[in-house]
Amino acid sequence: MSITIIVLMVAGAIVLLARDLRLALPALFLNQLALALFVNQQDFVSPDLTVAGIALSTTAVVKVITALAVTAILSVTALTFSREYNVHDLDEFSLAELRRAARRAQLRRAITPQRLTDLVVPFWSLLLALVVSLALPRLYPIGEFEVDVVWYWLGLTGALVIVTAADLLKIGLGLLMLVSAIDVLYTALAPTVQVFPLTMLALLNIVLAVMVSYLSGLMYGRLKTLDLSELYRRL
Amino acid sequence: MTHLLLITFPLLMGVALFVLRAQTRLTLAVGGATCLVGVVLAAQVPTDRIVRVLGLVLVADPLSRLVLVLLFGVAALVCIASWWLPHGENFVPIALLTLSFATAALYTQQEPFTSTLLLVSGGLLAVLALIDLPSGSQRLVERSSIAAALKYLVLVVIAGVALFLAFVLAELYQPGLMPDRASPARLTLALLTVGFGVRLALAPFHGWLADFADAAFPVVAALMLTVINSVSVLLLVSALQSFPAIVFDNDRGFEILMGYGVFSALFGGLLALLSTTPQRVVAHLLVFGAGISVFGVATTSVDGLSAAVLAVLTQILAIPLVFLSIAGLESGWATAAELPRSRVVPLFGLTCGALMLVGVPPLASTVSRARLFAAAAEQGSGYALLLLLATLLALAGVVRLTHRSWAVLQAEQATAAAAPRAAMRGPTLVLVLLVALALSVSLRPEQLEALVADAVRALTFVSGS
Repeated sequence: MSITIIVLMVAGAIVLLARDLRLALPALFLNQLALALFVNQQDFVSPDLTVAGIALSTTAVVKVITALAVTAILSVTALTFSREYNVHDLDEFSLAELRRAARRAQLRRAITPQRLTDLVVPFWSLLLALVVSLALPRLYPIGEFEVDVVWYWLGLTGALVIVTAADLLKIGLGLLMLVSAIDVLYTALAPTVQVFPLTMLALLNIVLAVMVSYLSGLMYGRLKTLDLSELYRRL
Repeated sequence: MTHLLLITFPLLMGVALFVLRAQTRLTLAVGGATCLVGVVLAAQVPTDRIVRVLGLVLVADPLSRLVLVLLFGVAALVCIASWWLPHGENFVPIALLTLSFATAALYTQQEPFTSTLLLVSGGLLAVLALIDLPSGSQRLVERSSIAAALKYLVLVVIAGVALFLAFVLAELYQPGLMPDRASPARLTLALLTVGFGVRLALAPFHGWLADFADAAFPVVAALMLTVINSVSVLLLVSALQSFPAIVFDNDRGFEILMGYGVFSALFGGLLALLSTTPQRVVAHLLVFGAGISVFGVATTSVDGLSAAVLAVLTQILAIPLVFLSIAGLESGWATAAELPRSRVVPLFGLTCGALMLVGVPPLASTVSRARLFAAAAEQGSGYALLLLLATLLALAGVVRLTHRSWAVLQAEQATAAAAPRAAMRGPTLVLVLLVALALSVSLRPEQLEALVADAVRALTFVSGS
C-alpha cells in the first residue's frame, strides 16, 4: 500500500476521532489533498499539465482547488461563530430567547468537561472501518484493490463520522467524505469519465460546505452551540 | 436549443431575483411571469431532437414535457398565491433554481450520473427553502426548522451516494461477461431502492417528509414536495430504462420491491389515519402515494407503470392544492364574522386534494386506479387486497382530517377566537382553478391516458411493450 493511501487513511481517522475542529479541519484538508495525489498517481488519469517539473492531471488539480475551497469555507465559519446574525431586526421576545440560549450554552460548557470515554465509540468504529475497508475489496472487488480500499475507507469513515458526530459541523465533514468516496469511485471506475459530472462533483463539494457553514452559523446564532443534543432537546 | 433555454432562463432569473429579493411583490410578479414563460417554452420543446451540450445529451420525451408544463404551471399558481400567503425571503429565487435543476435532471435522463448530481443539488436548495424567513422578519429561525433541514441535508446526500454507487455498478455490469462473479444486479436494485426510497419518502425513509411539511411554509412545501416527488418517480423509471439488466436479472428483487411498495402504502395509510395535524396527514398520504407508485413501477407491466405515472400527474395538482389549503386554514382568508364560510374554501380544497392523493374518483383518474388494481391482481390477489386495505386506511385518514378541521372551525366560530382578517380572493381563485383542472383531467382523461400508455409502451424493460 502506498504512502499516499496511508496518509489518506490516517487523516480520515483523525477526522473521525477529533472532537476539536482545530484538528478535524486540517485533517479533512490533508485527507482531500492525499486523495488528489492518489488520483494523480493512477493509470486511469493521464497527466496533462506540468507545474515546476511535476506532471499533474487537471482532475487532480481540480480536486486540490476543491479541497482548498472547502477547508477555507469551513474554517472561516468556525472562526466567525461569535458573530451575531441580524440581531437588530429581532423583537424583544427573540432577543430574550437568545440570551436564555447563551446562558444555557455557557452552563453546559462549564458542567460538561471533555472526557476520554467520549472517544470509546469513535475508536471502536474506526477499528471496524479499518477491518471492513481491508476485507471488502477482497470479498467484493469492484475495481483495483487500492482504489477499492480508498473509496470503501472514505465511505465508511464518512458514514461513521455522521453517526458518531456530536455537533453539526462534524456531520458536514462526514458528508464531505461520503461525496469524496463517490468521487473516487466515479473517476476510477466509470467507463467514460465526463467533464460535466466531475465539475458538478467539485461544485457539489463546495456547495455542501457552504450549506453546512450556513446551517452551522444559523444554529450557533440561534442556540449559541453546535451541539446536536441541544438542537433535538424537547423536539 | 429550447432545451437549453428552459434550463438557463429560470436559472438566470433566479439569480437576478436573488439580488432583488427584498422587494417581495416585484420578485413574486417576475417569478410568476418567468414560470408562465417556462410553461410556453416547455410545451414547445421538440421531443424528437437530441441536443449535445458540454458532452451531455439532452433529450425531451413526451412525458417529461408534460410534467414540466405542469410543474411550471403549478409554480406560477403558487407564486400568485404567495402574494397573500407567508413565505421566505428567498422563496422565488430558490423555486426558480429548483425548477431549472429539475428540468436539467429530466432532460439528462440518459446521463444518470449527471441527473443524480442535479437531484442532490436540488435537494440542497430545498434545505435552504426550509430555513428561509420572510423579509424583515423579527422572529428567530425555529429550532425544529434547523433540525428538519439538517435531517433532510444528511438524507439527500446519502440518497445521492446510494444512487451514484448504483449507477457505477450498473455501468460496470455486463451480463455474461464475468460468469464467475456474482451479479451486482441485486445490490444495484437495493441501492436504487434506498436512494429513491429516501427521495420519495418510502417507509422507513419517510421521517424527513413529515418534519419538512411541518417546518416549511405551506407554499414552500407545496412547490418543493411537488418537484421532488414527480421528478424522482420519472428518474426511477428512466434508471430502469437505462439499465434494463437490473430488471431482467432480478425477478426475485422486483417481487420484493412490489411487496415493499405495498408495505409503504399500508404504512403511509395507517400513519395518515393516526396523524393529528393536517401537515402530517398530508405527508403520510404522500408516503402512501409513493408506495403505490413504486408498486406500479415494480410490476414492470404497462398497467402498473401507467398507474404510477398517472398518480404522479395527479400529485402535481394535489400537493399544491392541499398545502395552499392548509395555509388558508392556518391564516384564514376572510373576516372572523364570516366564519365558518371563510374557511369553507380551504377546507374544501384540503379535502379535494387529500382525496386526489388517495386516488378517489372523480378527483383522480378512475382509469389510473383501475389499472393499478388490474396490475396488482395480475401479480396475485393478495397484492390487490392489501392495496385496497391501504387505500381504505388512507381514506379513513382523510375523513378524520376533514372532520377534525371542521370541528376546529366551528369551535373558533363559537368562541370568536379568530382575529379579524382581510379577505383574500387570490388564493381562493388558485384553489378553485386547481380543483377544476383536476376534475377536467379526470373526467376527460382519454388523451392523457393515451399519451402515458404510449410513453410506457416505448420503455424496453416493460413486459408486453
